[in-house]
Amino acid sequence: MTQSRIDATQTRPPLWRNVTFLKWATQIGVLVGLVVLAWILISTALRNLEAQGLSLDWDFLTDPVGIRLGEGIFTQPASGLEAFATAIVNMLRVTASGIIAATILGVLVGISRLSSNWLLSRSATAFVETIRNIPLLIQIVFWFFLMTLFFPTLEVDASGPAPGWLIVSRKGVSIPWLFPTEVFWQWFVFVAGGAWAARRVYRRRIELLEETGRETHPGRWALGTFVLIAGLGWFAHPIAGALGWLFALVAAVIAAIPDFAFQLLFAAVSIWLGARWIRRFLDSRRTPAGLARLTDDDYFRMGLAGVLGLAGAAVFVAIPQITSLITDVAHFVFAFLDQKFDFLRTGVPLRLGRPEVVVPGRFPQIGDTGMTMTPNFFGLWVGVTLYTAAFIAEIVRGGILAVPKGQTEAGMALGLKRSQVLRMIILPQAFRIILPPMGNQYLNLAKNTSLGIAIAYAELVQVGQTLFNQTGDTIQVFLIWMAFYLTVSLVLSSIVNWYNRRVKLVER
Amino acid sequence: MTVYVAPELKPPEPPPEARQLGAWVWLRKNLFNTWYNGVLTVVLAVGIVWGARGAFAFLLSPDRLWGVIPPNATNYAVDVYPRPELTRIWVTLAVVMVLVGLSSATWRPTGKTSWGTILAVVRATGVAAFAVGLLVPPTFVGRNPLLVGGAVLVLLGAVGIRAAGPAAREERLPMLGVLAGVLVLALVVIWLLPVAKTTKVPWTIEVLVLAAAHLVGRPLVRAVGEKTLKVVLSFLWVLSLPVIYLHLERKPVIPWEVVVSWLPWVLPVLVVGYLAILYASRAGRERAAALNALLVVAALAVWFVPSPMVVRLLMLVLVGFTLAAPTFASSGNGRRNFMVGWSGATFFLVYFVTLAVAETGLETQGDFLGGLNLTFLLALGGMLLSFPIGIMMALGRTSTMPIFRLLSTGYIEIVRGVPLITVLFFADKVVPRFLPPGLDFDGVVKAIIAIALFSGAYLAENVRGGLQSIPKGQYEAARALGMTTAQMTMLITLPQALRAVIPAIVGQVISLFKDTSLVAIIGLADFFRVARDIVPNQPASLGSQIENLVMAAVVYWIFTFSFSRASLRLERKLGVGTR
Repeated sequence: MTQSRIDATQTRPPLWRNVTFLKWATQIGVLVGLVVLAWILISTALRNLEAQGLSLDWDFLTDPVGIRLGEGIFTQPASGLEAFATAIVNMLRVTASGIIAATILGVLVGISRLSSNWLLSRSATAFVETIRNIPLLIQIVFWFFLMTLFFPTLEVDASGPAPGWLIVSRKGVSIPWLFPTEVFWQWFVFVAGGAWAARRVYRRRIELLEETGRETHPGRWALGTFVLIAGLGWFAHPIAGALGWLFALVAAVIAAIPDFAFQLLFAAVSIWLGARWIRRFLDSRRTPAGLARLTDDDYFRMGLAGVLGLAGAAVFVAIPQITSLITDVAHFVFAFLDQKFDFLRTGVPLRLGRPEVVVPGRFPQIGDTGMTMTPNFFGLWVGVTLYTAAFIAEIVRGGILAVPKGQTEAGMALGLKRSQVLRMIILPQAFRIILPPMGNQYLNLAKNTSLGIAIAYAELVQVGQTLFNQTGDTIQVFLIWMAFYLTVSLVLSSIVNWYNRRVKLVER
Repeated sequence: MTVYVAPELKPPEPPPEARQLGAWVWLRKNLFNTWYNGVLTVVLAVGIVWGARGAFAFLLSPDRLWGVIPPNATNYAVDVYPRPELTRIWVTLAVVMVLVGLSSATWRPTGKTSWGTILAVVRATGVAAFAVGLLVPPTFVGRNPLLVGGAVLVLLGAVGIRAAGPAAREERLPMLGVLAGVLVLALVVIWLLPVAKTTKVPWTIEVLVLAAAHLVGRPLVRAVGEKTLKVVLSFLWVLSLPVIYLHLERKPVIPWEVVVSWLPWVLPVLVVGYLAILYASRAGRERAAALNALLVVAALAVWFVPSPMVVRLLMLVLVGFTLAAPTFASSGNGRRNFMVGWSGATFFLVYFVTLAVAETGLETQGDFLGGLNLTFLLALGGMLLSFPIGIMMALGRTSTMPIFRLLSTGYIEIVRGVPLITVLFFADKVVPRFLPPGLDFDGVVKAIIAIALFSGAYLAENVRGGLQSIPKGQYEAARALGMTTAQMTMLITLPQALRAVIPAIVGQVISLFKDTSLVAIIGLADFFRVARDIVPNQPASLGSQIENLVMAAVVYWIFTFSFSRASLRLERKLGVGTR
């Protein structure tokens, strides 16, 4: 017995039977194979591009382009950068308005599906089953054609249903809209401050309610605070113009500090982030009995974090352009904000624009008179909204059903009304279950806006395709697409995760 | 002390009979139980009637060009596929039918239903038809048939339920029989309607092929054994994809002299393969590993020596077989399966390479696959190919090897973060940039691969969920039995994981089917594109976009809706959630 134990410790297994060695050999082998493959592919691509007179540069972003976009901030972009900026703004417009509309509609339909009213619940079911089972692309094209082929034509002023207030035509739907004027941002400071103050007041009133048990009307107090401050700001907004000096100062400081200082700062931050990650990882492995045994996997993670931190630092030091790009953007932002604020600027922050038609068959440029929804926007927006709402409805229904029945019964036993039980007991609990899949649906909606290309809505994929059809820079456009959509996914999912952590039940 | 004992056990009382509620009571209970529900009901009813009348008036107005759809039925089915070669499509469909028939005999869906359910469906159809008849504009020619037919169906259903009594609720009818009945009914309808003979006859033959395959499959299961047949059929499903694709794409002019010239190469490799598998499965791990190393060297040597492509590929396949042999072929049964598998692999490889090198006799240009045919090819191909990708990525993401985990996680997250259309553009426009000039794939193949890569990432997350749901004891038990990681994965954990996530996988397949419509954007003529561009742009059918789109939507809806109903049944049968 003793003999065999000594054997086992003294003779290590040969290399080809050492599991750790074999695992790492396989992984590194595969990694090397992939790198070689990538190298072959990239060198082939470079040769192909050269043969076709193209190159892998980013000149198309700054060179003049001769394309026209259907709608957006630059309908005749001067450069690829302006074209992409337009596309991104358009995409975000559909995404934001679609998320709001789909959430409202989806929650309503989801609750309707559980209604005791047979007709209502059946109608909601029919809606969900119809919308979910038809490809989104067909729905988008359908709404687009429905508007462009069958809505009334656009005449001068006589266009209705309510001339001057609502115009519905095959060129678009136009409604009155409030447009920000040049003093809008000064007022906006008051609005934001009002919201912050209202939040504080709300919490204070809740605390008071919990201490004394009296009705303290937290909602009314918060609303009153908000309206008071925002209303005050409507007239007193030039005071906020003082912020312009602050922004100008920050912009001047950024411009004054030499770039290499920023380079060193960013490099240091990169190394610090890597080191912090490693320290936290080690902390998480610490037990009362000392540091837990680390596997080779753990060492790999720490090594990777360290290498990434150092690599980030190296990139910042080696390529000054990245740092100067960041500082340029920061400087631009503050200089831009500086322009928006002025002590002497007075006036009304918002202006009402009413829809009107001057030339028959055409709406004026967006922003002049009323808010106009083009058929392309309409088709995409209605399509993604209905489609996502159908999925959200199912999630809401599942979430409500997942709350144990005892909760309803307990609420009723306490003497709450049915509506109070739903509002104060069921929905807050269902919300926790609903939130993560809901976030997924928002992500899907953002990605589905790319189908706007089928009806020539000027969003990122459509604009990218137009660009690379002209310049042939498919690889770069594809990289831009990927970077943008991954950023949107990351931002949306971190918002949802953050919110999810906030509302999660705190367990042991 | 007195003990009370019941003189005798009372028989349990029968459950109270379910009271049949009258229509009035039902209305009171479900529509007018409170005052606001009453108001809601009235408002909703008025709204629905108004909306439905408007929609029907729009869809059935004489201005609508519904007449353009029947003459374009062939375009919808196959787009520009050469008309004299349509038999090829029917043959590939028959291949699928044979596989479906054999699979249904092997897996034997055991669902049951009752007369009551069927009659209720008949009654509901009647009610719907009658309601539609009331809502359509009075000028519509189909109005009276709808009213009369609806009334007849309602009567039929109601009388049937009344006549059957409580027996109507017994679940005795096998679901498979009901499906067969529906198929026969569909055939009868096709023969009664004015449908072209060139459609009626082949469809009848297809259904007969399906029935024959099912009937042949039953004794086959008994003769071969259920387990073997399941494995063989799974492989045949995967292989059916290239078979179908090549049969549709090529009318081969086979260069027989070239094929014959392979024989002196292929036959020795085949025999060497048998011997190698035999040796590797018997000799023990160490020697098998040595043999594998030898074979890898041999495969590399063959690759760089001037030899037919088929032999180079065969050597690679052989290396795969011998690598897996010590793990899975150590028993007599496993060894036999490996031998059969190796023969089959050789056969299919020679077949595919032969067709790939043959000139095609089809007189066409570009991508000529299209219509519903292409939609189904994309769905089938995407589904079959996404499985290996998804499973591999799921295993990679749950693996203990950090680099593999990093690569799989990166792949899954990147693909899930971008929309499908960008992946399709990547395959269509970016991939050719990375390939040597002159080498490019067919648009259909690229679309299938792109869809599979996209869907694979989502599938991987589903499979990962399944893998994580398996109790740790299963892993530990497998380890305790002395299984290797490969054996544990293939025999213990993966089968359980896949079984646990079948509903999620079906959901993924449904969304894949809907997503195939996106290939229209990169220029393939799938069913949706035929409906959006090709038919409405014909001179005879200008301005019929809405009609064609509505038709396409209905067709997609029928398929996805029946998939999702089937998956609900499956979910309930597996009882995954309730176990």
